[in-house]
Amino acid sequence: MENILEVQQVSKTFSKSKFSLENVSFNLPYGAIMGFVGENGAGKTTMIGCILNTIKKDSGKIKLFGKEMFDADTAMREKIGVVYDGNNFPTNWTARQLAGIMAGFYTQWDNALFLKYIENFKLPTNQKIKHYSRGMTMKLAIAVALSHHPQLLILDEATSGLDPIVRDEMLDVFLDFIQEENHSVLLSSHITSDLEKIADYITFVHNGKLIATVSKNELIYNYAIMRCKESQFLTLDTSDILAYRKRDFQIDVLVSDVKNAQRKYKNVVIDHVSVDEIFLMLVKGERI
Amino acid sequence: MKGLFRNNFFAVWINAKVFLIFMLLFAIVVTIIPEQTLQMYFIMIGIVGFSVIAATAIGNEFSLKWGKYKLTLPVKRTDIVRSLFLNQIFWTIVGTLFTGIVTGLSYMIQGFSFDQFSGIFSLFILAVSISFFMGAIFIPMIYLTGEDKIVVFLIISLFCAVSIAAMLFNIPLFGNAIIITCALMLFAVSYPLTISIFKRKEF
Repeated sequence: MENILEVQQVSKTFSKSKFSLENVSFNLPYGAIMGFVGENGAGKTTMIGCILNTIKKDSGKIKLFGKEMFDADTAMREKIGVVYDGNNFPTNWTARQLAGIMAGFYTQWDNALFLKYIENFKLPTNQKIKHYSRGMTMKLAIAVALSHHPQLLILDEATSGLDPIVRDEMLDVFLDFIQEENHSVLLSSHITSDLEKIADYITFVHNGKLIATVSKNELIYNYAIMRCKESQFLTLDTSDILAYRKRDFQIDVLVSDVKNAQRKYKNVVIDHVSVDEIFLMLVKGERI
Repeated sequence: MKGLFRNNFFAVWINAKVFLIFMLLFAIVVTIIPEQTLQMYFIMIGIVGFSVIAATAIGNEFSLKWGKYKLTLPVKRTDIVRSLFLNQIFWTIVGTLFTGIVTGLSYMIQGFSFDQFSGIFSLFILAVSISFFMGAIFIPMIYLTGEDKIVVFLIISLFCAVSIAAMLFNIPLFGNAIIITCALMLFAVSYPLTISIFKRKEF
């Protein structure tokens, strides 16, 4: 499968904050949505900054559409739509003024499409952005990101702070966008329930390190948590244990092959769990 | 570049239109009352004022995500800097034309209010030079130090610009030529300097 985005062994250290992104690698195929999950400060925004060249990586390679993107590669940026968390645009502009400015940036700017999104999102065109609610601001940013016919959407915490109804609307827009087979979405978020709804792949990062990139189906159907007593835990095959966490009277064990676990450990309770719980186990659980 | 020009124009216009109203009222006063000191203030405030508004408006953009967002648009960092310098030139020209037209109008209605013709010419040179000195200092400073120091660096750059201009203005021979040449040279040097700072800047 061809990838729209390839991140290979990317590292970045900030000397002032001592934060490091360490050898992060993942691929986003064409036609897929990837959730980029991590707690606040895990390195999601840094990684997106490296992808978009707003931050200079120390080492590693990032390929977009099969090529590394440099500052001069403006044609490549025509194919990318970006949404950051919060106010992306000067707040004393109106949506109409913003459209006029964006038309000057993108050769493929489609004003009719922009107005269609604005109408669908019920956004006032002549009201200053500073009078928009947070949900409206994010809808406007998404409308802008989609109105120049991009192939790749990169969203950095674009759904955080939005109410469930607006979030759901946004997720529908992303699903609609992905109907074209050469379109992809990279969506960083710490709201894993959103990703469970739409993502094809989920990449977990923690403290600047990549924990795993797993397809959502694999997470849902193959990952599970075994609720073990201590005596049961001691009998487990260590190669089956991805991570474990001690609770009061039990030990939760994350496994990546539920069928194998069900076959091998018949007396142990095994639960299919949410992405949130899997993420917590991967981050907070101990490894053998 | 078209998008950058439009963006810069909108950013400046929000404040410039308020300043323009003030300057129009000032222009009425200057046209009615033929007073040399008033004319001097009018020219200085008009030219330097428009360029200060241009500089601050652009500086303010850094305090928003828009500064970072612009880097994801199909423009080069060099183009962003170039558009800022052209924007500074544009608003200095706007200020010069505006004050020039009003001064000309005042001359037609009330007669010449300056002691010598060279005096008014020198004043225009001084005001334009201060604008270029200010822009040359302010723009790279903002890129170097960040958006949270816009006000202090505006004051510093304006103070430096006035000091340099005043110092050069007192040179008896070729004063005007020296001051405008120095201002343009510093402005020209500031451009590649800002590019090199911005190329290293991370958002």
